[in-house]
Amino acid sequence: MTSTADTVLVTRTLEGERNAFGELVDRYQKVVYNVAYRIVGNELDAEDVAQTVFMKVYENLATYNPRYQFFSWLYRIAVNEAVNSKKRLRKSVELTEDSIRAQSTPLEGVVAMDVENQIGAALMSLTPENRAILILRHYQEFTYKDIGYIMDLTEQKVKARLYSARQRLGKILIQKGLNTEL
Amino acid sequence: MNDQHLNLIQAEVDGLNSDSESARVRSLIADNSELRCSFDELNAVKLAIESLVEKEPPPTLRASIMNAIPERETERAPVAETTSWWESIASIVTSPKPVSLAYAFSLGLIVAFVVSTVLMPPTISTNTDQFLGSMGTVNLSGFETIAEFAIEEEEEEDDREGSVKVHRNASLIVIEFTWNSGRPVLASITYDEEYLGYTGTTVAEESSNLKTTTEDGEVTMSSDGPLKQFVTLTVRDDYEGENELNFSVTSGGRSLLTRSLWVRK
Repeated sequence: MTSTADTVLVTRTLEGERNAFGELVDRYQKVVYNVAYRIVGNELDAEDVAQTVFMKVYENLATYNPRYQFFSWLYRIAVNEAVNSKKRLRKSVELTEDSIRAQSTPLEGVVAMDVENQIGAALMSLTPENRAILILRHYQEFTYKDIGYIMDLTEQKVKARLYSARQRLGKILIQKGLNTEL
Repeated sequence: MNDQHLNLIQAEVDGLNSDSESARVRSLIADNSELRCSFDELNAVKLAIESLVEKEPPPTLRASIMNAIPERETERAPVAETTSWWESIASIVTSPKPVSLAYAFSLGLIVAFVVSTVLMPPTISTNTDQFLGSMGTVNLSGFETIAEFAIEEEEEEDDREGSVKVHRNASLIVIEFTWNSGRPVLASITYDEEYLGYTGTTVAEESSNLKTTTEDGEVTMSSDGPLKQFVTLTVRDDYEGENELNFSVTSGGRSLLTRSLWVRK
C-alpha cells in the first residue's frame, strides 16, 4: 500500500481535515523529536520543541511552498526552533567528565552505553548550529544542498561549516580517547 | 594541505567522490600524514554520530500536539488544483442554475481581483505572520517603526535608492529592506546573538538572483536588482540594557549606508 503524499495531506489539512495533519504528525514526530533532542540535549526540552514545531507547521501551512519537499521545510522549522530554543535557555551545556559520570546508571558501565553517552556529551559541547549541521548530515543524511536550504546557508558555507564542526568534534573525541573506540 | 584537498577528503567521507577522485584521496593520504590524520578524524566523527541511537518520542507527544492545534477554517491549498480553468468554466455552464450563479459570482470576483492586481498599483497584503524564509509579507500591525534609513545616491544613468526600516513590538524586531534600483546590491545586518535571535526572512517581491544567508549574528542579503525583504529577529527573554544593530548596504563596491541603532528592551 502506498502512503499518501505529504502534499496531499497538506492540502487536506488546509481544507480543515484534522486527521490529515495527524498523519503528518505520525509520519514525522520521531525525526523531529530526535533532531530536537540532539540539538537541545534533553528529553523535556526536545518534547517542547517538537510540539512547538508542529504548532508552527500547522499555523504556517498555507505558506508552504510545494517546490520544496515537505520534510525539508519541516526540518527547516525544527532546526530553527531547536537552535533558537537552545540559545534562549542559554544554560551551560559544557558537560564535564563529572556530569557525564553523573548521568550514568550502574547498568551504563557497559562500554557501549558509556561511549554513546560520551559522544552525546561531546556533541553537546559544540554550538547548536554546529550540532545541527552534523546531525543533518550524518544522522539524517541530508545533501549539502538540502542542508543549505534548511539552515539558510550557501552550499559552500555548508561545506566549510561542516568541516569545521567535524574538526571540533573530532578533537573532543580524541581528547576523550573516543576515536579509538570507533 | 589546501582547500581543494580538504574538500576532496570531506567528499570522500561523505561518499560523494568519483572513482578517480577517490583514487586521488587514497594517494594523497598515503603520502601526507597530516591529510591522513584529518581523514581519520572526519571518519571517526562520522562513525560517532551514526552510532547514536534513535530515541522514541514520548507516547503523549502526538496527543499533546493534536490537542494544542486549533480548528482550522478552510484555506487556500498550496498545491495546484487538478481541474483546469476551462473545465471549471465549462462546469458553470452545465451546472444547475443556482450553482451556476454562485460560480459565476465567484468567477466575477476572481476576474475583478485579477484586473485590480494587474491594472491597479500593487498593494501588499498583510495576512501572514510567518518568518520562515518564503514568499509573502509580514503583518506589521501592532509594531512600532523605530527607525528609517534612506539609501539615496544619484548616478548619471541610474539612481541607487532604497530604505531600511526597523519595526518592533515587545518580542520581535522586523527589519524591512527595500532596494529599488536595477543594480546589484549587498545588504547586511549584524546583531548580538546573545540578546537577539534570527527567526527568518520573508521575501515580499520576486527578485533576481536573490540570496540570503545567516551566520554568527549576521544576516546578508544580495540580489541583482530590486528587492523587498523582511528579516525578523526575536528579542530574547533575558535581553539586557541597550544593544547595537548594525546595517550596511553596498552596491557596485560602493558603501551606500553604514548605520547603527541601539535597541533597548
